[in-house]
Amino acid sequence: MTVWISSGRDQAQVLKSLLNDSFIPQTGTGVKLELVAQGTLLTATVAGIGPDVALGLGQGDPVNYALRGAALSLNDMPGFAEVQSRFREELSVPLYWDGRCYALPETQGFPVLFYRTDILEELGLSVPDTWDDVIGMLPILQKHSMTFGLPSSTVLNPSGGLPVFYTLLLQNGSRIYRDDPVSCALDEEGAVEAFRRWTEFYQNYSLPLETDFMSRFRTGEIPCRGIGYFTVQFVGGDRAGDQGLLEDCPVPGTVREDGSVDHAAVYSASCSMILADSRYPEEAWEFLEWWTRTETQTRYAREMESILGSSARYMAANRETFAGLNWSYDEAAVLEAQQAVCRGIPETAGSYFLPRHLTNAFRRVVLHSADAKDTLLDYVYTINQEIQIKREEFHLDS
Amino acid sequence: MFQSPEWVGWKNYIHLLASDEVFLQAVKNTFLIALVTGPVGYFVSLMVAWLISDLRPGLRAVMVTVMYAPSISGGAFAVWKLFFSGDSYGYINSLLLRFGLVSSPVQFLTDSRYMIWVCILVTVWMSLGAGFLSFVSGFQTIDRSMYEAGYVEGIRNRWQELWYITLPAMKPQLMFGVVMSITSAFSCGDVSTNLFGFPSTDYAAHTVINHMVDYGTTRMDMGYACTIATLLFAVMIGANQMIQRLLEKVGR
Repeated sequence: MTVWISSGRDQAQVLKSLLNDSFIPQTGTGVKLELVAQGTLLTATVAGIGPDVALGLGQGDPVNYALRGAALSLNDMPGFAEVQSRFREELSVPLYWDGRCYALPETQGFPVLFYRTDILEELGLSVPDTWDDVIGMLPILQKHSMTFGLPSSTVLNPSGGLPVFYTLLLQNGSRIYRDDPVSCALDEEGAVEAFRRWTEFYQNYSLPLETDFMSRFRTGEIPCRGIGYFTVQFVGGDRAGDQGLLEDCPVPGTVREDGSVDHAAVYSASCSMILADSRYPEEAWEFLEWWTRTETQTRYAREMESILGSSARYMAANRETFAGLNWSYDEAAVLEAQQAVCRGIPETAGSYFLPRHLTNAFRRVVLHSADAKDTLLDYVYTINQEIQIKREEFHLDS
Repeated sequence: MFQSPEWVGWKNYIHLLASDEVFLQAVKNTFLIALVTGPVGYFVSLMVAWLISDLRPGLRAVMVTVMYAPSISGGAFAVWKLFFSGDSYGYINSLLLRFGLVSSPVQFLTDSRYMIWVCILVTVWMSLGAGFLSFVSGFQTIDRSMYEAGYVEGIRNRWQELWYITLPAMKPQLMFGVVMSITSAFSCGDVSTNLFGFPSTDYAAHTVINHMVDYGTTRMDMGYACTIATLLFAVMIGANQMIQRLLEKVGR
């Protein structure tokens, strides 16, 4: 059986030693682990020389492969329900198509709010709990030549700004796709409102469109980051450099009608998938079952961290492994609270058009002062058209 | 893509030519870039090569390296990202802000109004490529006695010398330069992807190659991508033929 990993040499070596230590002696299945360049999977699968299992895929890949009959459905595998219970349900949302599951989550990503305790204290500001609090603290920050940080779409990360929109959207009680994912639901009232609020941060409150967040956080120009991710620097080295001045808390929320605050945000995952033309589907599933076990994931996470330091923290999708990572007591509570309200975004045929055109819509409004509602509806029309074309291509009813 | 292909007849061609607005935009961008950078790049290479060929050999080698460096440096045009960065600390933006010319950073790389011009500028900067090298060597191969014969026959100045002796004598190199410059002009796409992201905002710097890559990879629609490639190929051959005819007139 062949397994492909594309994350890196260190990762491959740790996984190899785990395989030789436990999986291969336990099951007697021979596993060939191969380190390949990212993006090889598609061409190799087309050529018929692909692997049985691919690790570390993006969350959009499984549905794309499934639509073309190239991914194996995992629902009927022995112990599927038990394996699924190792992860939060929302994390697997993008891995489903038409009620069937095509991959298992491997790592997870979700945002929190990062802030510099020293600066907020000096300015006499409290940590924002809602988006209104954020708007309230902006004048004070800007008076001191500082600003509030939100991620935005840049050249390197063309969909980087979307988590902000999705966060506002989910907290508004809206959704991205209609229940049957035949069209996206962004033309609904709540979505238009969320889009307007998102663009207003840049139009009315002139948040910067492009920044190097890490350096500005360190210099203190951006002491507060609304939608922040645990990137390499954030978990690791620099955190120590900030000498405990960095804290995190759930992302800014929206007040619900009953007075409680909704801190919903979006989940993203990387995942592992079994290819449909695998000659050893049972062994492949056995491998995935073993790989996602708490015990395997925890050992992998520990070994990664011992080789590369805390900057290599493995954000395991496995709930028990994640909770067992080296978090401080307060931090663990914050992360737990944030994860509990995170939601996954479904994938559908043609869903690649969503980030592309939302970014276009955002830029048209912010840079060219176009009307938010008209612009959004325009692009939603284009997005739905593409979804329609893709559905026809795959002979799905529309 | 993994299934066996389905016969669609001329559907892809009809859609491409009749109803694909993004393709029209891509064609427009490609032609704009090709028209500006192709001829400009070609004549600049020719002129620079001509000037350099008169230098002493040592100095000439240095100058050739300096001129040729941008096009062999691969991804070095990424330095332009620093110049045009939309961050208020980007080189150009920080200058504009310091002199009070703008009040907030200009988004050169994501605002559809500026992108195509940035793209053209960077492409011209890189255009002294293989064609340029062949010109430099072409100038060296011309027999000195041809010039002497020319002076006897009444060549009066260096322009006449260039037109009646030098250029006709290096026609093969000129041809090579044309082929290289047309292929690179029509197949530009890397600059757009690297500077503006993929795809660029509102397809403002989308080239035909980008359009093909979009269908071939992101949308996994190989049939359509092949349609685009076939058309591009036909246009490139056509352009080559046309310019070869033009080149035959050199020196007449």
